[in-house]
Amino acid sequence: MLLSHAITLAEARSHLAALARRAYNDEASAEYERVLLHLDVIHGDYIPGISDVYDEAADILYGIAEHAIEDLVAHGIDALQVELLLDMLDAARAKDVP
Amino acid sequence: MYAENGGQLRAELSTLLRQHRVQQRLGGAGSHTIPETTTTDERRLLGEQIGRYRHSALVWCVQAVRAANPRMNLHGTSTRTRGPAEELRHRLDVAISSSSGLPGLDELSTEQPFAMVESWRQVARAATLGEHDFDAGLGYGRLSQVQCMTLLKDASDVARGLVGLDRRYSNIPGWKPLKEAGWLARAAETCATFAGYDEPDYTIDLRGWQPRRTLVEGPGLPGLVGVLQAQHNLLVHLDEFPDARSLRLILDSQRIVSRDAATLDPRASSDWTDRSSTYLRLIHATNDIGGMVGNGGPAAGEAALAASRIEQVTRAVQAGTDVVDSGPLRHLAQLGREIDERITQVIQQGARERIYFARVPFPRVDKDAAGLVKPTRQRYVPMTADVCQELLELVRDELRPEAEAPRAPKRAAASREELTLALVHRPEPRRAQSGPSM
Repeated sequence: MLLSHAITLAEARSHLAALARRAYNDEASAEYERVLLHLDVIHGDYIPGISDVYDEAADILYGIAEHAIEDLVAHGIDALQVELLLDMLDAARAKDVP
Repeated sequence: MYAENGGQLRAELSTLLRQHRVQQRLGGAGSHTIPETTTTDERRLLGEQIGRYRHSALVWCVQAVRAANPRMNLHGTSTRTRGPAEELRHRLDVAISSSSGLPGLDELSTEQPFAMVESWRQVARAATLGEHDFDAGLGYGRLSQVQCMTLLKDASDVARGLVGLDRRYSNIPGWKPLKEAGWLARAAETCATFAGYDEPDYTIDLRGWQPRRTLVEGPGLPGLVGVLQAQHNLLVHLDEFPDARSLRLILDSQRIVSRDAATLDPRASSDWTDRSSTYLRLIHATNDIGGMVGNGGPAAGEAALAASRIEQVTRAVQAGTDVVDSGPLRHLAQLGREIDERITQVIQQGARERIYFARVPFPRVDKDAAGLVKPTRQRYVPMTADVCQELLELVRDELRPEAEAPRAPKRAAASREELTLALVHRPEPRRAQSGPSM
C-alpha cells in the first residue's frame, strides 16, 4: 500500500467511524459501521488505524468520507466495490435523520 | 450426565431391592404353581453373571468415594484412624479385590431374558457410563463441600443396596458373597449417616459428561426454527476461534437478531433491546481491532444466515402471513445467552493471549520500506486493558450474562428418596390364612 493510498483509506475510515459515533439513531450508526466493515474486508488486515477527526457537522464528515471512498478508485480498488460502498453509505445517510 | 447415570443406577437398584424370592426369578423352583425352567448349572451361570454386573457397581462406588474424598494413601491405617469415607473406600477395595471381575461388552450390551438379570445389566451399564462423569466435571476440586457430601451419600446408599442384595442372593447356586460384607455394610451405613447430616445439593446432577453439540445440517428450516438452526450452528462453529474480521461480522448479525427479536417477543422486548444496544457498542469498540489468527468463516456464514432469516420472519409477521410461538422464542433467548457467553470468552481470550490487536496510528513514515514511496508506519499493539479499556469493560460488565443459580432436576430428590425407601422396605406379609374363628 502506497502512502497516498494509506492516507486516503485512513481518512475514509476515520470519517466513517466519526459518522457512526454521532449518528442520530442506532440503525444509521450500524449502517455506517457496516460500510466501514466492508471497506476493511476489501483491503484485508493491513490497514491504517482510525484517527480522531475535527468535530465538524455531519454533512462535512459525510462529504469527506464520500470523497475519500471515491478516490480509492485511483489507488487500484475495483470500481464496482467502490460503487457498492457509496451505495451503502447513501443508505446509511438516508437513515441518519433525527 | 450424572443425573441420567446416577438416576438409572438408583432406579434399577430400587427395583432389585423390592424383588424377593430370587430363585423363582431365575427360573428356579419355589412354588408348585410355577414350573422350574432352568437347571442348577444355568442358575449358577446366571449368578456368576450377576456377580460381574455387581463388580461394575462396586467400581462405580469406589470411584465416587474417591471423587468426593480423594485421600490417596490408606496404607498403615486402621478402622480407628480412618474417617467414614476412607473406611468405606477401604472396605470397597477389599470387596473388589475378591470380586469376579468386570462384565464383557457383550454382557453389557445384550438384553437379558430374565427381568432380574436385565435390571442388573442396567445397573452395570449405568455404572460403566457413569465412570466418564468423574473426569468430566464431577471430580474433586470442582465440587463444593456440600456436593462432595451428596456424592458420598449416593455412593454409600448404592453400597448399602449391594450388600442387602448380596445377603438375599446367597441361595443362588455357586453364589460368591462379598468379602467382609458385614464390615462393608457397617462402613456404608456410617458414611451415609455422616454424609447425610447437612442439606444435600442436588445440582450435582447437572454435572458430568455431556455429548458435544453437533451441527443441524440440511436445508434451511422455515420460519423462526430456521433462525434457531442458524444460531445453533453459529454456536457450534464458535468452538473454533474466529479471526477479528469474522468476529465483527458476528457482532453485527447478533445486533440484527436482537433488534428483530425485540419486535417478535413483546414480553422480553426490553431485554432484546438492551442486547441490541450492547452489540452496537461492541461494534463501535471493535472497529479498529485486527488479528488474523483463527478461522471464523463458517461462524460468520451462519451468523449472516441467522440475521437474514430473522429479517424475513419479522417481515412475514408484520405482514400477517406468519405467527411466532413462545417456545422457539424462549429457545432463541437461551441460545442468545450461550452465544453471549462464548463471545465474551473469545474476546477475553483474544486480549489475554494477544491474538487480537488494536490498530494504533503512528503518523510517521516507514523509512525502512522498500521502494521510492514510503508508506505510513503502521503499528499494532496487543489488545490489552490500556488500549481497549472500553471494549474489555463492555464485555465484562454488560455482555456477560448474569449467572443464574443452577437448579437441580425435578427428579433428583425423588430418585434418592425412592432408593432410601427401597433400602428400608419390608416385604408385604403373606395373605392371612382364614383359620377357625372362635
